[in-house]
Amino acid sequence: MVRVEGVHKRYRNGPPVLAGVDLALAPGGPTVLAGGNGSGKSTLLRIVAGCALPSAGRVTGRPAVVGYLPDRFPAQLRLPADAYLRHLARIRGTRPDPGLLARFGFTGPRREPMAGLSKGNAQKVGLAQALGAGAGLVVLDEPWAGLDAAAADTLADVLGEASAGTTVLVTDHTGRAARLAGARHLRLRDGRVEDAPAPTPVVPAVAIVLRCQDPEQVRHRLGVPGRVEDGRLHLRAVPSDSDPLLFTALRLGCSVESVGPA
Amino acid sequence: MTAVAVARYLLADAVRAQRVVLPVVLQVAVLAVLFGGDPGRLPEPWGASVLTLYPIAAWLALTVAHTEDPVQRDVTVAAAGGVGPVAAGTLLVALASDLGLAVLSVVWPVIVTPYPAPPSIVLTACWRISRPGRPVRRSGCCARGRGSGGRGVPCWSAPSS
Repeated sequence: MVRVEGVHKRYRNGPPVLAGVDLALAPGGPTVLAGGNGSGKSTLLRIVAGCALPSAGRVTGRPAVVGYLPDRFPAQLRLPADAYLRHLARIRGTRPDPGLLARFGFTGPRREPMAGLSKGNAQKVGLAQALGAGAGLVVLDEPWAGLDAAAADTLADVLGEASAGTTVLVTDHTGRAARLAGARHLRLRDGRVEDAPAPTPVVPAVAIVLRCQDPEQVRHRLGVPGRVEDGRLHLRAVPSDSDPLLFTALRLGCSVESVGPA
Repeated sequence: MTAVAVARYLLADAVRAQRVVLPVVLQVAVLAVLFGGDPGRLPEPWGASVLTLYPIAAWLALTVAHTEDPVQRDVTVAAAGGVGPVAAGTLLVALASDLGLAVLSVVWPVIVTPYPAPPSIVLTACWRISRPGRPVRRSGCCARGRGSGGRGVPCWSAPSS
């Protein structure tokens, strides 16, 4: 178990960024750290990962192999992706996971300098070096930044598979972490860590306006929440349900007035 | 072991960075100018090339140590499990590159000058390079006009007596 004990951090001539953080991290589910811009999330992550030293306090129980993804994985690297992953795995004393990069949907050249990669592909190399080395502790700073939808889902899957034996600490601004199974949610405020309620996942919705003979009856037949205004039926539905809903409404004799984002 | 792995990684990164080329090119240019004509009998000419070897080797070592992107350095430190192995690996690469520069500076005049360079002189030069602050002492060849054949070749080392 990784223990963060009374960690303080203050940068030169600045206010304290971390003011006594106590935290115990264990395998079994990712720990999601929230907090506003500049609240010290990245600083805490760097200290937990072992690439920054706290001004006071200490981190104990850090496993021998650590995977760390910085919040801005540099895109201007000279080594090719394959060589970089091989070198990083050798530094950790492990072997790189050969299939992980492909699993994330990496589409760039693997034998040419990484400086030519797009932001998303560079981020995938960063994820592969952090997650593909069998690390006992994985620290990911904004891992969803720049990822496409498919790679974001893959990342959630990989984190779910790894969480049984790996301690995972992650920050997120995209709302994706809210959907991680078994996640523990924390918030960093005023330099201290406190428990936070799990954020509600943001579900996109579609607004549908129907013109019907009898809007109330149609609303009951459709069985979805909605309201009647000026003889028109206003509905909200998740995108995957909108087509069957519209089909049923048309069969009930309604005409579609508008469909758009809610 | 981790330090060696870090050194291999840093070396692979550094050889792709163009900025390590500049110090090497400068030392090669200095050697080419110094030993282009008739510099005289060894070990005196080494006394001139070693004057640029020290600052250029320091420049090369700093360049090698700062080739890696700072954020990338964080990832490497986390992977290596601390600053120690990364510092040791950086030191290894810096030492190896400086050693290459020193060997080049010692061997170049041995190859291009027509005078005999017995192993004892070469070894003495290597020993002197490893002890900064003690320049290669003049053998007296300039003062006596031997070696340079009295053709007006400049004497590089400062008069000691």
